[in-house]
Amino acid sequence: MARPINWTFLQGGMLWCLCVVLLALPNAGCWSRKEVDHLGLVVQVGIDREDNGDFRFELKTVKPGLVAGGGSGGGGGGGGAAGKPFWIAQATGKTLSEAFTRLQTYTPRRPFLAHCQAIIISEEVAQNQLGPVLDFLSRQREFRRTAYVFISRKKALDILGAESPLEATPGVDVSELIMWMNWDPKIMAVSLNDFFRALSLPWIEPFMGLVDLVTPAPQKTNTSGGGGGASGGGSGKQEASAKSGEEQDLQVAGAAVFKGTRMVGYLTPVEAQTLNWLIGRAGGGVITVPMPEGAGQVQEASIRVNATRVSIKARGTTGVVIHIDQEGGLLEDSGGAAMSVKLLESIEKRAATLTQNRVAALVNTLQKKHGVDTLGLGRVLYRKDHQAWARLSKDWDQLYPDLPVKVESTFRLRNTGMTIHSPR
Amino acid sequence: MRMDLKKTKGVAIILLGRISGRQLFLLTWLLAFATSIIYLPAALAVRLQQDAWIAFLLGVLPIIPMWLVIIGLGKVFPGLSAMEWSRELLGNTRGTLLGLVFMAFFTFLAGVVVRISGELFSIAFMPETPLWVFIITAVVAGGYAAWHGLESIARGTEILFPFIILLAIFQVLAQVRNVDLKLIEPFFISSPARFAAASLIPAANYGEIVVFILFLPSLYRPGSGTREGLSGTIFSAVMLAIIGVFMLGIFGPAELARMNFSGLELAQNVRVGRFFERLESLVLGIWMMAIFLKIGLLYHGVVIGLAEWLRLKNYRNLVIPVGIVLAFTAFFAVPNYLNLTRFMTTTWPFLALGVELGLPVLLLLLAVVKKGRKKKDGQTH
Repeated sequence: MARPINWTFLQGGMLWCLCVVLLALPNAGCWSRKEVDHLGLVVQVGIDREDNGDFRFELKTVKPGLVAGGGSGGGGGGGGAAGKPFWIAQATGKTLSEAFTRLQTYTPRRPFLAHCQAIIISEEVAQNQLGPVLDFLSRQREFRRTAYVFISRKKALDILGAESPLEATPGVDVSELIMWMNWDPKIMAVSLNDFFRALSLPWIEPFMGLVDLVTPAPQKTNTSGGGGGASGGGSGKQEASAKSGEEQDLQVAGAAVFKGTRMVGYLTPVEAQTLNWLIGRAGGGVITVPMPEGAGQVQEASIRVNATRVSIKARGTTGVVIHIDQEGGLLEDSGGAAMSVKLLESIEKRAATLTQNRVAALVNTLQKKHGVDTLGLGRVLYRKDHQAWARLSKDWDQLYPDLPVKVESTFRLRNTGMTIHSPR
Repeated sequence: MRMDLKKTKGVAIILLGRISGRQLFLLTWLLAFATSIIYLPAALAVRLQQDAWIAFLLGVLPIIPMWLVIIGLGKVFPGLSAMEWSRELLGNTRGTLLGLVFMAFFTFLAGVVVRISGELFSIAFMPETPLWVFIITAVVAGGYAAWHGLESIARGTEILFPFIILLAIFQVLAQVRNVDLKLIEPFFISSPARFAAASLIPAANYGEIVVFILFLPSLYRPGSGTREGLSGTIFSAVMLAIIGVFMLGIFGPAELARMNFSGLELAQNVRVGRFFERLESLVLGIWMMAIFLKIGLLYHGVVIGLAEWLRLKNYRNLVIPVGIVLAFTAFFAVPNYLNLTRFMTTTWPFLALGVELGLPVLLLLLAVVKKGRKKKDGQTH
């Protein structure tokens, strides 16, 4: 039998000495150490395609000193590169990781991607080589599934260079915009997780939000960008397309639909709004319907949609019924009509018809124009009867464009706003 | 501290400690819950798609006889340790060999848990740090727990338990909005055979409770504990099933199937409003404590078993040597993480259930037969 080792020497002073020595070791520094002052916080990432097929990887990095002290003020003063509260680092490479690593050769800080809020992917990349991008985004350990992915019609670099005159902190523009998705569901935001989920599941196709640079009011009125500081900040932008003096603003509206990892087309903002309603992401927005009566030249009523409830059900084995219930309040009546219960009922009917038409139009666009099952109608049939679906699904690609989809809608007008009649 | 009980056999194991029924419940829950959330949901989603969560519940079925057998063995040999009664039952040589099989099993299991915790840190957080740093940290933490014994581990679990439950409840509340329950429909699309095969994976995980075969003399009342143990297993199975539903509803079955650390991804997905996110360091911290306690429990099992196997008076001398073996096992058992999860979800369930269920059942049968024969012999003579 082994003689028991006497551990008592570890008690008292020896133990303390050992602890102190052991604790002192890591103080000298450790692997994978990340100090805040060695990190460059990346708020947005852009991915472009070079002519030779390489990727251009762009990181919108916050300048640490300039954010807290009101970056927009600095931008307003000069608009020069030094005044900007962010810096766009960019590099090219055969793979994104290669480009990302190459960035380090001229970036004094280590780009830190965990705070990245939005990933902007240019149209060219989405049409040609999204697969490698998605692999990078899901394998790289710093990206989060809560980050939003957008397709950009222009170069992603231009989007990154845009700077909202309203925001002191750079890079939050996009994520600030999508906060108002429910206010106007034309804003479509899809997180990385949403995209991956739709991509990975059979019989549903993914989509992404669309981000663009637009001139908000064409030429004649320059009201929206009127502030002096704002236009100063705008001059520092890097987009080539922007003419001098013309304000280009970041817009999130519309969507891009995919078949697998390949982008096949765009949805208009109105279609994106309808898509948002149907997938239950955002049920708000404003719709405008013609009024049956009124005194004014323009007889239109705008209604704020407050809630949308959707049920998509299978009808038989090869048919789908989309039922959409909405409710809202009257926002504006440009005709100045005398409100009556009967008139409200009439508006309700018109609103219901409008929604029905929009849903039908969206379904038609998806079925006929793009031929992608973005709404996951196949999955509806699969859930209804998965044995019948096992036979159907083989020919789903041929079946889908002609799948009968019935749209039913109701609308309930809950109120007429703060007044009953227009002022007269 | 119960010198009295062991005096009869002449091998006095000091500082063995006793655990109450509640502590048994918590330790059982800890064993089944701590690591399985990392790689099991993905492995089950590969096999059963949206039905993965059901396998967590089905996996409980083999555990019911397992608990009956283990507690039954404690009833047959009250106060004796597993090493002692296996020698009594099988004879000295074969009993010793059986003890070795159990020790090898627990050593490997503890090594795997150490490796998983290390890989989690190494892959997801600190890729530049060498793996052995995490392995040694986990072994040292586990060794500390193993040194202090079963009671301390049980009390540690008691402290940790409410935090884990609170975090779980928070996770559920924070994420319930993101869960799309349509993704787990339709139910039962896989064949019963596939269900049975896939259920072996969580069953092997729950079956790690076989380590209590070494702690039988530590149960507060020998022969009792089936109810507490089984409810611990069922509790963790239900928790895992709920978490499974969440993962399936948030990521979708196909996306879940390709994840390496689904539990971590779930924690990363928390986003309450626009201000409350990046919760995973908190989750990971508490989770790691649970994993360290699990390592401590298995480590303690190895050490206790080995001490009894070698007929030592004090198990503590074995803590450091066993720790070195554990670290080497963790480091060299598998070349990489993919190998580890593949092995743990294909070959391991069969191996593990053989040791976890097969061996105890055989032992109990043998014991019953021997006792019956002895009684018969007593009557004839």
